Amino acid sequence: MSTATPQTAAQQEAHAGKYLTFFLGNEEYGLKILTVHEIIGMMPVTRVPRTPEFIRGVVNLRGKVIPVVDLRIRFAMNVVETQDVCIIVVQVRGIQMGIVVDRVSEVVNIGADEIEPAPSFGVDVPTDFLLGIGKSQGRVKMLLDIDHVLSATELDETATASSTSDATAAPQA
Amino acid sequence: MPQPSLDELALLLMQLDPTDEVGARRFADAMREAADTSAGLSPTSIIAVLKCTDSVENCPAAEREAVLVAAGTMIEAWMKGESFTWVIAPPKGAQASSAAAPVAAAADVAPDVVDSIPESLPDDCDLDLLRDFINESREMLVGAEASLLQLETDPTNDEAINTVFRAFHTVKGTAAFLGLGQLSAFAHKAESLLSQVRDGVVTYSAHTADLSLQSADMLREFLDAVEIATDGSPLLLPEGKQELTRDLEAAAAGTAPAAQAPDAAPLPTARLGDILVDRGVIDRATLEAVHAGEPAVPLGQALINAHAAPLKDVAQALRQQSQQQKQVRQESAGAADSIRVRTDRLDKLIDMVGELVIAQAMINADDAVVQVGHQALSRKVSMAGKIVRDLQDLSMSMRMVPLKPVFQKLARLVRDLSQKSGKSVEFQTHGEETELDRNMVDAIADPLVHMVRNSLDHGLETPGERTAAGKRAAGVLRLAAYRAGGAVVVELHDDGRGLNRDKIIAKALAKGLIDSTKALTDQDVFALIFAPGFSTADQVTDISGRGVGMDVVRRNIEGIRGRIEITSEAGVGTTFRLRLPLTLAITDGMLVRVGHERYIVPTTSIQLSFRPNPEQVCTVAGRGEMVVLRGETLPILRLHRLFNVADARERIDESLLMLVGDGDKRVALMVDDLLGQHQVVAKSLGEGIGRVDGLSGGAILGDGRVGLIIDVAQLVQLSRNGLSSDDSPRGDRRTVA
Repeated sequence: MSTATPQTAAQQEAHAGKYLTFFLGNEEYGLKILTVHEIIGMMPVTRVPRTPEFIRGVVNLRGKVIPVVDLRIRFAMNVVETQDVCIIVVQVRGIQMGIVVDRVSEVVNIGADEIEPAPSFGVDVPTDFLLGIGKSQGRVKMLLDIDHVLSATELDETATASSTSDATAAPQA
Repeated sequence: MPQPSLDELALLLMQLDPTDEVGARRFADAMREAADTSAGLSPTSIIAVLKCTDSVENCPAAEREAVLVAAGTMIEAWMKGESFTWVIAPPKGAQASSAAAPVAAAADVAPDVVDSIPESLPDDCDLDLLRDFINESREMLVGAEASLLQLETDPTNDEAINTVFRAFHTVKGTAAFLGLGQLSAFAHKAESLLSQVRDGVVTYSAHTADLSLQSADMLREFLDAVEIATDGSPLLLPEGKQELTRDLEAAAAGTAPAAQAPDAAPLPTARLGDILVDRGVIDRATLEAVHAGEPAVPLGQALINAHAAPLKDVAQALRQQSQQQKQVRQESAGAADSIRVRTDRLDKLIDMVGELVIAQAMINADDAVVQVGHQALSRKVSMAGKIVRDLQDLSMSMRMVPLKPVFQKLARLVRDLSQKSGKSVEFQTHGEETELDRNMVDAIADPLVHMVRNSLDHGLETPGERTAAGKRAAGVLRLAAYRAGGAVVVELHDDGRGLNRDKIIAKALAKGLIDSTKALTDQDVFALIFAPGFSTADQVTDISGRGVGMDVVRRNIEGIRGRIEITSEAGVGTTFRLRLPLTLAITDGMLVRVGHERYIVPTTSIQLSFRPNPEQVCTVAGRGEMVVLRGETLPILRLHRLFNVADARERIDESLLMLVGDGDKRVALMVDDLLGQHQVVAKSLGEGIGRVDGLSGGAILGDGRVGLIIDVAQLVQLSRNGLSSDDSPRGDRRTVA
């Protein structure tokens, strides 16, 4: 891990704790349990036009409209709808958002000594949305910096208009 | 009563050196302990003890002697087992003229000497109580300000003076109770001047008016400071307090014996005799004579007995009088019959009622209810539905507040600005009782301030210019509010110079806002003043042109789904018209289908919908589609293309066209189908998404799914921009991602 970003022991200590893990394909990810609000089954999602593609749309969470992000699209993975697909509702800086994941796995306790800094793969595979890599029970879990994944600035940076065609197709009024 | 501890207390007091800070603290502690251990102390006594300990600990050393003397008196009463209050003699030089001296006494402990030292909030103050105090006081100050303005036109209005006096007095009393010595002391000064006016010692002059208005401002600043200090930061006193205090004292004392107020007797309603004299039924001399003749008999009776006035007129006058009395009673009753509810609770309630409406609609549409066999069930459901609708109406009305406070604030603003700019302005208001959602009222307050500033500064001419143009020297600024259809219109009209079309165009060209002047309608030109960075004033004045332009006004108004229109005629005046929805919460919308997606189009923006004939449709340059309707050509906006819906109908003659938008911004919106009209509770799409172009929000539909509400004005804008500059970079990046 010579290319690892320098990460102090104190930071690793801060990242230690309980994580909710879930699967995207064969990859297992972890979310800090404190950011998780609830887990709900998949429900009809209303697509919102003219938003980045990874925003699946909005859902009705008991009368509240919350946006839902598809992590597979967010991480540029192939979209496969599985049987166990569900929405994890997280609260980031007071904002509620849902994230679509393939399958929720378990809640694990990851100690500071089990966390390693996120490796760097160069520009093609961005890893700055990871808090680190957790190793527990012999499996590797990528610990998500959900704040970073969903934050507004990040949305802007990688924002994609829903389609280029819709703009060109607009009539020349 | 545990006498020994009180004896000890008295002993401590006797030994205490006024300059001994540590000793003073020990004495205060002992006193608190005594209060804790002694049973049967009345609440007022406990408060007195707390105030006393506070004063002992916090007053400057120079003042402590007086405080200790007062503490001694208090302890004596305590030992006798009497109930006591915290009263201390005011320090030398302080004014003691007010009748309310006992309440204010604690406040006077904090004299002007300590002005420069930031006072912190008392340690033991109840924050909730403090917040209530701040809110209540602010409201009272608004009322006081209105009365002060009333006094401008009618300086002998005793009722108005009383209102102001009461407001200052209440602030003073409550502030003293909460231990806000400085605030209380200042309110006392402001109140004293008014009490002099009320007692006829000082006449109400322009100077008094200014001072009183400034006092109201100062009190408000005080309240702001206190509010800031509630989180534990030091209480910073507003600037200029000392000067104002000095002016107030001078005004109260200096001109004391100058004049006797003409009519000191406060009359809530007109007397019967006055009404008759006003109506010309009888002259005052006869009236007095009749009254003197039969002092024991009611005046009306006496007049008729003496045949001094016809029965009909007396009866009319009596009716008028009783009506006035009723009005006065109603006004005071209206003020009392309310209860304070926190806004977040109210919002929650309204939200939940909204949910209830949706849930009810879902039950209503359920197969079990719709089926013919279940008549009893459907009857019950419809009954519940009726109650739910009533509940919804009620909850909506709870948020409605009149525009009056906003208008009053503006009246004050106009007064100050006109003095500052040397323009004389007559400010007229109409329809200030018009009600609007509380959020809307808050949202338009700032834009209105800016618009009034703008009208006064740029719209109205100086008296000299006006006279030269053959107008009255005093300009008229009229603010009106009224209901029109499902909306509320707020109109600001000035009879000033009007918008200068050529000047605006020249400026817009210079700033690069437009590139040619061809085909610009007046509306287009006037709309330019809302463009960011536009200002027609040649020089930036103190009043307006401080960087916030009319673009902010428009953005704010559009943010609450309002519209802003301008009509103007050179030399005659300008009218700004704000058209606002009644409430933000409920939207009347038409549910439309585009492919498998559904959208809600606000009913207010739909003019008509129709299925076009193929011959009505024509294209421009092979791409831009137009529809001809009653001789008018309108661009067709394919919603499915704009929103990129895959499975929508492509053929125009199979779809429906909806005529939406207004003025020159009308387009024919192409949708697959209309699904019916719905009342929906508009919600934001969640902060995670933020603003989406062309959408104003979302709403939960009958089946529990989210429907998106279309913002027609933005949609039209979007279609016009086509591949606009702010869209293309996003599109480019997508190919990378």
